[in-house]
Amino acid sequence: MLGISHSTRGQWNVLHVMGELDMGTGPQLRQEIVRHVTAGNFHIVIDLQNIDFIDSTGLGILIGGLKRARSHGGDLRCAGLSDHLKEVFDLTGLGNVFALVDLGEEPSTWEDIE
Amino acid sequence: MSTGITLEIPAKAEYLSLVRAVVASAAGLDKSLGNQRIEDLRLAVSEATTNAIRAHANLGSDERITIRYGLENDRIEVEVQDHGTGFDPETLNSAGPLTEPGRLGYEGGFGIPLMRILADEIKIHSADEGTTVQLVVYVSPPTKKPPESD
Repeated sequence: MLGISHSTRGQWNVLHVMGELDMGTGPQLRQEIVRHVTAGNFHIVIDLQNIDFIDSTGLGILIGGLKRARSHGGDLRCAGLSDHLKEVFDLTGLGNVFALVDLGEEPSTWEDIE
Repeated sequence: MSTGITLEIPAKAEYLSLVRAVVASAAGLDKSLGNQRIEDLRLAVSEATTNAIRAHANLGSDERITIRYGLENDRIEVEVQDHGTGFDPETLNSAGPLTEPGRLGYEGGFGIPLMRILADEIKIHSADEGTTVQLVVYVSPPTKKPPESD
């Protein structure tokens, strides 16, 4: 099961994802990202703080979301990575692709992150 | 593997969570394996099982996927066996690194590289009748405390 809730921080739409993100649950997140981009929300943060597990399918969905957001002049960033998830990001090279944001900080401090 | 746990699961994504839970719980019984290594094994096995499920889905096969877990001496071995059409593992790294132009256009290609990184050993035997992925994680011997001095 995957739970997804939504909040906004300035121009950013934050998707709070809960549970395990894999081949079975990943399509839910993809659908939610597509729904936001289609609605014109091109600045998206995926909050992974309450994710217990993410596999290569989940990583692929994040990449697809990033490409989709950037193609509209926006961006997709990640927040709340566990130590293990940070390791997976680094091992796959995703650490150099996604900007990480701290949801405890004001969104104005995220803007210059590249 | 002469001893251990064998799971036979329907080739459906909703069983991935069960496989992960069983493997992580079994690995956790060995107190010398740290949480990080358990997470590595859990992810590697999940990737192998995901590939197996995809292989069966591509065939429309109702056959079950077999996952064998075993602990022998200083190593945990997990085998994931499917009955798909097989593939050539040497051709699967063609997606290239994420820094290459155009790589972001392709969402896949992380599974086998991740398994190769996370496991201490990986063997992939693939033929027309299916694929067996063997993942090995070494169990470090427990650290001996130095004798207490009086």
